[in-house]
Amino acid sequence: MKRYRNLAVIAAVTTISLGVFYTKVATSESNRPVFYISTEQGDTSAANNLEIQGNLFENNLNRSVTITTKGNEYQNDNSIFDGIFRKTFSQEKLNTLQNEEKNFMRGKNNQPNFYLDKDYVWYADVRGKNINFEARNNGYKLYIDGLDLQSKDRFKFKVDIPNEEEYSYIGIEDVQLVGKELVITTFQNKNYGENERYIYRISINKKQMIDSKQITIDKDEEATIHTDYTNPSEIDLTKSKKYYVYKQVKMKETNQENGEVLSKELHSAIHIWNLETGKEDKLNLTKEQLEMSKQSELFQSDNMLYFISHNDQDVTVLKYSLERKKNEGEPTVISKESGVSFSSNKIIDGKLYTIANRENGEERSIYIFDLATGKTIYEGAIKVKNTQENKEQLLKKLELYEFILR
Amino acid sequence: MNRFIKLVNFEINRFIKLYIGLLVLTAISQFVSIFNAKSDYLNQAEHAKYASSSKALEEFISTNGTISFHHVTNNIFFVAPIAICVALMLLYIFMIWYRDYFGKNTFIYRLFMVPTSRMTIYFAKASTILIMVLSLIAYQFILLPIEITIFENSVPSELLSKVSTVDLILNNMLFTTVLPSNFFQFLLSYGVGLVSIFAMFTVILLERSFRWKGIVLGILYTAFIVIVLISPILINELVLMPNNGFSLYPNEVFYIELGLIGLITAISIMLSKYLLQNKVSV
Repeated sequence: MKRYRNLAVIAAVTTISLGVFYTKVATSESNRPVFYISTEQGDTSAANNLEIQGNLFENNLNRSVTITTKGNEYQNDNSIFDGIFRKTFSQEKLNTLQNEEKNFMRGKNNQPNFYLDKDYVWYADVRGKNINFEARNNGYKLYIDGLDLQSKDRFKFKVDIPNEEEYSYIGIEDVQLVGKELVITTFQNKNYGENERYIYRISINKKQMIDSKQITIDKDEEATIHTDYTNPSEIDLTKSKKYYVYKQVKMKETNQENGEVLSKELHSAIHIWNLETGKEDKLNLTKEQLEMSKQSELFQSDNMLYFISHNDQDVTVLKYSLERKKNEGEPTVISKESGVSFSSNKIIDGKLYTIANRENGEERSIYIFDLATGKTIYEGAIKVKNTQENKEQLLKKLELYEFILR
Repeated sequence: MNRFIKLVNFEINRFIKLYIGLLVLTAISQFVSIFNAKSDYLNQAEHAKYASSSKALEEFISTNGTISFHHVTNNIFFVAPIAICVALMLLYIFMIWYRDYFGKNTFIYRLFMVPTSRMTIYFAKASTILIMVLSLIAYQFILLPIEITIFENSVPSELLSKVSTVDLILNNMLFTTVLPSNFFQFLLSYGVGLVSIFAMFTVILLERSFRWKGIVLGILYTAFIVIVLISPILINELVLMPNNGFSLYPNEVFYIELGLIGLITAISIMLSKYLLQNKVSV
């Protein structure tokens, strides 16, 4: 037995050591602080689908954490299994669709490329012949794939893109079904610098493009002038909508003697494209409201536009109906305590979701406001349990940065 | 089984001097890294006269941050012995065969005369390498809490961020590569490691069987393995996806890869068995 001493010692020490390590990993995982959303006011069910993503910075270590009403989950970026079995989409309905229609969903990973209602799912993709984005002649085509969710009939075809050879990149921004036509908004890049947006109208019956319209171009007359285009924040890009909205801001930059660059706004406008008529609609706001809208956060949901503006005492939400082409009632005013700021705002189904941050960095609250009445539907606080550390100190080390409604 | 254990023990005893040398080198070098990392930081702190007032301390921490054992793990003297161990273990995959051929008295002749299947020798050599690799990792895990304790006792508490051994391993790229936090991933990683050892043994046996031609066959066999393993990803990304938008799900690619790894294991073992029984000459 003595001659096996080396092997026995090495095998025993290795087994015990690795066993202790994995036991400690399991214990350490179960001993981690648990952050959760605690209901302070309203019905907990209002926040059941809420996920708040944050970051815990402790002992020079950063850990990503997802917090819900039930507790939290620490992400393990190093795990191969997390990468393989992670959900593809942030929107749960697309993950469900992926489970139910496994074959249809193959190769379809971009949320904005989907249109989804109770009867149909449509997906548009632009693919070219080159692996890299060449300056020209990429052979881009528009690939359309649709599925009738009731009959399971599949509609798959490709469409030529006008003048595609001029573009180095063409990407999908939005897909909509309007009657028997698909309306697809694209972002296109020419000569690695000029950006354009197009709206293409495709007949499903004829399987061909019936209209194409350039809606934006940021090729400016002078090098010091440039135009930025931004879209309103939208939570669910797969939902049916009749209007494509974007904000155009034209800026002139002047170099100062001290080396700083001074930006001056030359022009700012909000454009509304009616996807049914293919024409631009007017934004009917008063001069005062238009001025306010320039400084506002812009949201779009269910054919409504929302302008959120902040000051020290309150948050004002102006609601504009794109269908009725006018304001929807009086602006909603939500008062807040001084020293409180709202961040990560989201508008979903006529409700404002927000994280209220206090100046001292503690006591972060989650609010859900009904924008029709301005009343608080839900108030929650981020709390921590399962820790022997100072809870206030621990909460200060937690940074919250994103809201997801599953 | 008894013969297998005897052979593993025999191989370990042949490696033990080099192994103990590696353990000593790792310990010395990593203790030097503690001293280095701590001195660099404390010199800066003393230069900033951090102890003169609480304001000076606050200013120093806001500029430089506190020190934790993570600073030590970034030191070259900490990482170097780990890299040396990895390199030596890779080299030992070849040494474990070639020393039997080129050592004194062509030992392989006696080894093949042992009244047991030649595959037992093959598996004993592969097991030895796996045991030595795992034991080096286990040694590092034993060494870490000692190093952390010494480090944390030698740094003023006001400048120190404490960190546990497990947290240190879980949040360090190098450590999570050699010691994954998930036990199944550990089994997967070292399973793949073992398959790589089988594949390299096959290449060595090809060379031993056909000499110069064997080197070419070995290179071709390695290329075959690489092509087989990356083929699902290449076919997915370069053929299926651009042509018809069809794509495999990540979990499907994972299961296909597992199947291919199983296939490579079987081919490597069968080919090695054939070579050992029919082709390898002493």
